[in-house]
Amino acid sequence: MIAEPAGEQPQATDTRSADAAACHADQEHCITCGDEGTPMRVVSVEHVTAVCADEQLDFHDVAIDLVGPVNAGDEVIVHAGVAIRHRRLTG
Amino acid sequence: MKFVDEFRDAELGRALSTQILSELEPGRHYKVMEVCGGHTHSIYKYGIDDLLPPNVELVHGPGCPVCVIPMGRVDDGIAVARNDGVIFTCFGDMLRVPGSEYTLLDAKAQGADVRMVYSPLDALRIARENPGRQVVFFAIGFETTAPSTALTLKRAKAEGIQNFSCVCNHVTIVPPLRALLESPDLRLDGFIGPGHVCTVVGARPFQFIPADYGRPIVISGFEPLDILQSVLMILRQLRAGRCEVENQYTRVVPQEGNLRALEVMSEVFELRPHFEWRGLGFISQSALKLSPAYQEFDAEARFEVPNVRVADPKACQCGEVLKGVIKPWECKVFGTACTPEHAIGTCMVSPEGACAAYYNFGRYAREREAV
Repeated sequence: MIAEPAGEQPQATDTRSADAAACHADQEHCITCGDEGTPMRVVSVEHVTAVCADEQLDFHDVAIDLVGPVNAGDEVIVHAGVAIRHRRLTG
Repeated sequence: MKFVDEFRDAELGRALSTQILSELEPGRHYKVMEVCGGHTHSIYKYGIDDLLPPNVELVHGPGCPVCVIPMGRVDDGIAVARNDGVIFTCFGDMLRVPGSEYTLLDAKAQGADVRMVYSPLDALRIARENPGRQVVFFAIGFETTAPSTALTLKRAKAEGIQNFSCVCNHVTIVPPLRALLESPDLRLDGFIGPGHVCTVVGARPFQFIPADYGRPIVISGFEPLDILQSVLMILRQLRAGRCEVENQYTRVVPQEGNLRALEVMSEVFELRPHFEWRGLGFISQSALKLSPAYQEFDAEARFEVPNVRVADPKACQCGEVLKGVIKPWECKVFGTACTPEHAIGTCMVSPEGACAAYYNFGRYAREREAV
């Protein structure tokens, strides 16, 4: 399970730099060829973007337009920066 | 992590392997195709082949978008990237796919402004930050990736961004599967279905496989136990004389797919009459182009592209690998002239390509066998 973040609200990785946004050629997976869907935990939500934590507790900005309302604590499956599936795990 | 660690348990894997053995009919050879590059990668990475009996053969299908893109489309991308003032963006693996003469990485080395992005939304952000330059996204991928491009274009339109466009190479998975099933040189017993494509499109588009061709398909997750369980489910169907679409990946894949994603896709895209697939030739209605409402974002209309069909290198047998007719190591140039560092064929470029996955992981098992 992803640990619940505590204390200060985390910020997403700085995707403003080209390097941070890169799909690195030497990474293990190509997101599109791997049909990748990364499970992430929603940390906070602002309008159509959620800050989400992945397995390594790295934070990402994720578009949530395609999955409807999500709340902190929910899990989303993310592909190419966009949530394609929402699973409500809290409660 | 929940939904990851449980699916990598070695003891459960061995138990599934034993159950698979118990479902086999004596003397029968089984050929099961995994459609998706992500499955191919997991199979080699986790040595799933080693947990299967020798008469259960996994055949690698055409589900890696980088692997199926023809050289002519790469040349089109390079031509767009070379325009003055253009910032050309694409996923990382696309950079190393060979065109007729160059790769996008070569074009970058020669001065073109080519940048890797993780998401088409990052390309749109670059367009916002560079209003004086044209930003182009080279869109590839199956139905898992197409919604992210569609969403990006929808946002671009809503924001009135005029310096953003896309070269659309999105493809759909059902037509090539039908083409493979029609192929006389390939006999398949069943399919491991693409889990995240089905998260978007649902299970219904795959009903034609049992209905028209009498083969079972099991929609599968990507962890080792997912794949082993999917093989088991296929074998159980075959043994029971059943033939249907089953969903092993119920923790993620809803039966109806993601309706909102499908709605956005149908607004932004429409089917191309035909599209060329590397190794498979032209397949009708197998790819997407921008719908009339989004023509303003079509980079192929905004820039001049050669649009010339280029034959694959003669030495390369990617076509046969993609159809599952030969194994990667049976290609004449595998591991010698064609390696991940110097790829001749597209299957050696992406880590999910059958040749690269086998080169990186599987060949060691074969070397051990040879010793």
